[in-house]
Amino acid sequence: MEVKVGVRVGGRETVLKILGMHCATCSLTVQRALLSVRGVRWAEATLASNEAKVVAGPELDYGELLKAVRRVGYDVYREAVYISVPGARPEDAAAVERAARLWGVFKASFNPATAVLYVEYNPLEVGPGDVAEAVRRVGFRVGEVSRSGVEVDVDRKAAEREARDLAARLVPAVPITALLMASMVLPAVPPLVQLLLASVVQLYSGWRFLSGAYRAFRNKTANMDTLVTLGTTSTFLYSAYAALTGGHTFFEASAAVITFVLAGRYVEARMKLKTGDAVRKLAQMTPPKARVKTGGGFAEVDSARVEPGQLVEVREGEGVPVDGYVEEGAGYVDESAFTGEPMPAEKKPGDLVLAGTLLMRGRLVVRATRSGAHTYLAEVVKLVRQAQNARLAMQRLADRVAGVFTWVVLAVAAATFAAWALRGAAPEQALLFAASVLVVACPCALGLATPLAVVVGVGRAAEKGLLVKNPEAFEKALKARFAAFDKTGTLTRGSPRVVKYVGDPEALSYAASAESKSTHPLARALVDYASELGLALRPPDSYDSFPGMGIYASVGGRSVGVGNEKLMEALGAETPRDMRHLAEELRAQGLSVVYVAVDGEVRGLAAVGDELRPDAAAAVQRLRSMGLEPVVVSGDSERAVAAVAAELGISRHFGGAEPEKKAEIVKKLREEGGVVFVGDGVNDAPALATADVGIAVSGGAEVAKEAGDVVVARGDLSKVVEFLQLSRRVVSNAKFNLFWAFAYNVALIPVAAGLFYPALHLKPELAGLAMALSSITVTANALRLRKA
Amino acid sequence: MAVDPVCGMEVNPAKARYKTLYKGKVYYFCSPLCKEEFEKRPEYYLQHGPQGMPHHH
Repeated sequence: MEVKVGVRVGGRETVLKILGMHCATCSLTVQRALLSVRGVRWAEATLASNEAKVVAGPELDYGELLKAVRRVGYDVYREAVYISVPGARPEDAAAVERAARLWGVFKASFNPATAVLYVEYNPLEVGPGDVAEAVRRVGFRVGEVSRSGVEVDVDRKAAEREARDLAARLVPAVPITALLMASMVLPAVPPLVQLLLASVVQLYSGWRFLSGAYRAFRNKTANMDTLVTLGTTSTFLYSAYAALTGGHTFFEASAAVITFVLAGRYVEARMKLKTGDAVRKLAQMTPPKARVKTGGGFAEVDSARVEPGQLVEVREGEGVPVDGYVEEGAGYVDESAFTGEPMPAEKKPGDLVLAGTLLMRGRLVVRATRSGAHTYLAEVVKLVRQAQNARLAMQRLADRVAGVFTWVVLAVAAATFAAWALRGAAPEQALLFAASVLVVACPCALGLATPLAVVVGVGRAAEKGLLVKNPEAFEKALKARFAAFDKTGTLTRGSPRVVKYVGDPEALSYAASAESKSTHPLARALVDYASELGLALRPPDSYDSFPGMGIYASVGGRSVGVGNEKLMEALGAETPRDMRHLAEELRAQGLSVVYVAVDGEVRGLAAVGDELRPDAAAAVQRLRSMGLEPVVVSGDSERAVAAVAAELGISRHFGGAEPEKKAEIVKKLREEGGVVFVGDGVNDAPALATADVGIAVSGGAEVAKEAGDVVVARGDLSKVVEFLQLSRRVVSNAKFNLFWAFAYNVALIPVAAGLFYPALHLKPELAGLAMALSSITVTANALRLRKA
Repeated sequence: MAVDPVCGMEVNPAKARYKTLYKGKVYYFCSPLCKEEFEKRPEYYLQHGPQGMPHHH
């Protein structure tokens, strides 16, 4: 049936594995979403196989299928691969991505800062080999192909190979150029020998420019290599002609340009090795081996091979090889890599430990829950690497300019030559000006301007315990006017405590004993409070809970009731008038109040509240000084929210807001200005997604599943401030790079063209040097963020 | 074992889902019907003892 339909419709068929479908409506929703994609002629989602079949015409953009499914809340199973494309320049990004977008490829994004192509694909349609082949087919060299995001050596190896290759080509270029330049002053080397020497530089050292230019030509584009090749070969060929005919030669010009540009790239490649340092450091923190408990003792195995449930021993000074819970032993663990917190955390049986943290003191036996590519660390590394591939919005302008830039430069160079020739300059003079224009132009600074800042900035954020999933958050955070906070668990500790108790200690010990079986947060607060006071508790003989009222228990032969007025009434216990007054007062402060009755007599009153986090006031204050207006949005009662807001001096607050309502409030706020929402990664998902920047304060280790653009690894509000500060640095860094890239080109191209000749002009070799230094400047500036 | 004060059935207090508090004592019921009935007229049932399953009228 289906096949017939498919055949009748005509087009190419593809099968997607859909994730998250569990009902018939789901499959209909997915089907409708797929049909809405341009080019899709027929689609059917099947619940039984969790698959969707799509028939589409050639106008289909395959990535749109994924977007459509995700838009309606489902996902498509896909795999990811990192392919290193050494030698591809930032201007080649579009060509590489176009080549990689095969049928079955959802997403292909080339990171000009690392020369690594990231591809998300449908394994039912294509494999990494096909993509690599497609990239190779359009003329690029393909290096490492890595399936897992954890393997971070892809870009390092690529950068190292690049540096080695550049060094090899520089070896003959440097002495030859020096000799050629010396012979300008001391004509010791005959022109024909100069020709021979210059050819070595032109053809061997300059080979990568020639091949790059040829590849660009085949892809119908022009890049950096095109400019360098045209600039140098034109002067080289002219000099060769002059050498043979006895005219004036200038071999040193082309040789020097090649040497300078190569040297510039060499320095750049060495520096780029450092851009990914932060992630690399993270990824290398898991020790390769783990000691797993076997029948008798402990045996060493690969960390990635540890099965969930196995016991792993960690000794003092060692890294933790797996995620898991402490089974026995105790110690202090350095978690600074995830939290940025320098103080080691105490771990005792039952506590969570993460792979990649360091046991400073003690000995632990850990029951593994996750290992290898599934650990929290591995997820973090994967997320950070994906984020590093994203581009900032401001880069779009630069990308648009870079797209036409080389053509414009070619035109300017041609115009320069024509203008000088028309004004009666000697042909070699006109040629030198044109060559200067070609080699001074620096499109790569444009292409690298913001990607480098993103790579370094996201890495730096990770070191501080800030997981940036969407780097656009850096830009949006700066435009925000409001910092909206969820209350419970974000501004407050999230676990209620007894703030005030009025009554005799005996009654309290009865109340706590009665509550000791309950898991209700209020009960926990009472039990904790009584234990802190050192009161002895005993299990109740009987226990009953009455929702909306409280509990009633029998403890050591006494009947004990803990609850509100309704419970007291049902117990027939009279509440003294002054206690009622006190209760009213405490409730006005946003606290919950319970009475304690023993044998029908009200003997105590406890007020329970959720305490502010110790750093809440300072964080709110600092945000205010950064120009953000704090707002509280909470699901808790108006009264409790107002109390917290008052304590923090926050005038705008919204209580009684369910998750959906929170999203609506954020939407309303956005009409007035940008909103940064800080909340729980799971419960506040709608609000986090609605806000301009969603910062999830996460306690758990499921980073990838949490909503939000940024995940703060632990409930630490100062991280929110740190993120905003880092955002400022990253954005201003990227802006500087962009400004530099534009200003440099705008200023130097006219000079190179000889517009200010003879007062100010650039010989081709100096133009080449300027270009190389410009690239280095952009890279060096981005690297400053490593210390931000 | 406790006795449902409305219908007279035996109810296990540890597992009872329906209960109420009246004058400092917990009463357990076999069903929400008995509980409602008891809450309407607690004194009647405490004085007259169980009257069998209540009927809906």
